[in-house]
Amino acid sequence: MTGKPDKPIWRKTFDKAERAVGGRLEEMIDTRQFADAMSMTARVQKGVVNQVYGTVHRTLHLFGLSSLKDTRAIARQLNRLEAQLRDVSAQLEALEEQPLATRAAQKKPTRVRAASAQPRQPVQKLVERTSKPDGEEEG
Amino acid sequence: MAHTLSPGEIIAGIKREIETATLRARNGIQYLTLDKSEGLQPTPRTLVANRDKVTLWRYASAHKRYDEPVLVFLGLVSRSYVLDLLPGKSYINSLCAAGFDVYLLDWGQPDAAESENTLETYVDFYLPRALKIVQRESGCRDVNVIGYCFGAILALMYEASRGNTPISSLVLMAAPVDFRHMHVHTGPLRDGMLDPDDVINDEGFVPADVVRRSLSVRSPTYEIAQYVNLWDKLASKSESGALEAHAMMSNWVRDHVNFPGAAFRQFVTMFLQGNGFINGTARAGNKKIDLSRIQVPVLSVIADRDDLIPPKVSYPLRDFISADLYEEVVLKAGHVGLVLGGTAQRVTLPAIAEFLERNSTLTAEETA
Repeated sequence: MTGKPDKPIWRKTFDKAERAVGGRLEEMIDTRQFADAMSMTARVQKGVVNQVYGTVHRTLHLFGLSSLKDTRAIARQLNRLEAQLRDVSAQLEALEEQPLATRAAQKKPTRVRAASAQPRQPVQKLVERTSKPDGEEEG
Repeated sequence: MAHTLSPGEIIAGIKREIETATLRARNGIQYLTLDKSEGLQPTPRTLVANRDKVTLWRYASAHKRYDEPVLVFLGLVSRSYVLDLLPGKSYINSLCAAGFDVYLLDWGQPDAAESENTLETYVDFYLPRALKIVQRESGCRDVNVIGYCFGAILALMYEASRGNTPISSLVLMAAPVDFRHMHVHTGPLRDGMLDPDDVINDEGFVPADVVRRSLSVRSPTYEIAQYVNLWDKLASKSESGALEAHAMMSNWVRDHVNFPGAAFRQFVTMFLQGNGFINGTARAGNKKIDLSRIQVPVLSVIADRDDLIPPKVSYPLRDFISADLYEEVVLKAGHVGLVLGGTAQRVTLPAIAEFLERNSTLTAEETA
């Protein structure tokens, strides 16, 4: 009967030691306290980096120079714009794919004008009101 | 009583050690010259489409038996070549061998240009387009979809936010549904102690290195064990493929991609903090995500030793999908074991193939 060859002694020894140490470490790591400690480290690290880059950023601005942060901010604005364009494109496509019947049903019904409703003021009246009192044309 | 070695045994032992040392030296050179960058990718493929950094690949089955193709994708932080990593252990090749044309949607390796990609970018922009292309290329209206881990979140967001989709069946592997049961390390993000912007860099993404460290910190002796494994594999015969398998696997485990900052913030707010699937608060744009809207057959594949997505995180999906549509398979495997390794080939893939076969149509040639 063939089977997996037996591991050499050195390998068995290592595996035992690795589990003894690794197992204990994993128990310590798989805790909320460790996760909190890692989070605190990440926040402190970010804070320190922000302070350093912030100082560089302000110093460059003092001399009227733009910093890497400015360039990145512009790049991110462009990315946001591109993301918004993609959203609009997706929405337009979704709209185009709607069956015509559904689109027609979604169209606002036209207002039925009551017989007694006042007609809209024609544009000419507005022009007349803005023309010179003696009726001469502008310009 | 101590066993005294005879001169013959001593000479044989020395000879064996010299042979092993020679083999290690030869294999060592081979290991150093191996291109480990994207796995061996033994299955032939064609690039079907690409947009920005997202690519869609087609793996044509040599003996296609079913009309409906399979579209498979991972999440946003893993490299998708794991699905076709090694000959004889290729997830994609196994699906092709089962008679399906397979399409792989690779989200690419985001950088600053993708930092403002939101979850909607993937669910409402790339994924619908990919599905349309798959329909066009395959000539079939219906598509089977497989989503793994974060890919399962995207698949659920897509299917549960709209009706009349091309998806005819859904396989979700290690699907995160109820985020209350996630690993304790997600706690600081969940309760706000750690803000997403604390891990997002100035370029607007979570660096791949941060992703890798957050995953690898939970196995502190892994790196040392991998070097010992390497030393062990260097003594293996080249025809066994053990050294190549070790090289490809250990490279993939370390190989992560940047996580777009906008998508990360959304993920934390909507899922880790809001538990959006369970509480019904998840949105894809202005569309409500309601898991009970899913009206296609669903197979949820769960690994019982998965410490990244514990089984409790995936089980609640059964409460949202109608019993006649929902199936569940719980396998004795870890998170990666679902797609790679012996268990994937022996258990996971046959279960998935059987589900897909039941929910697919035989081609005209097969029915003739």
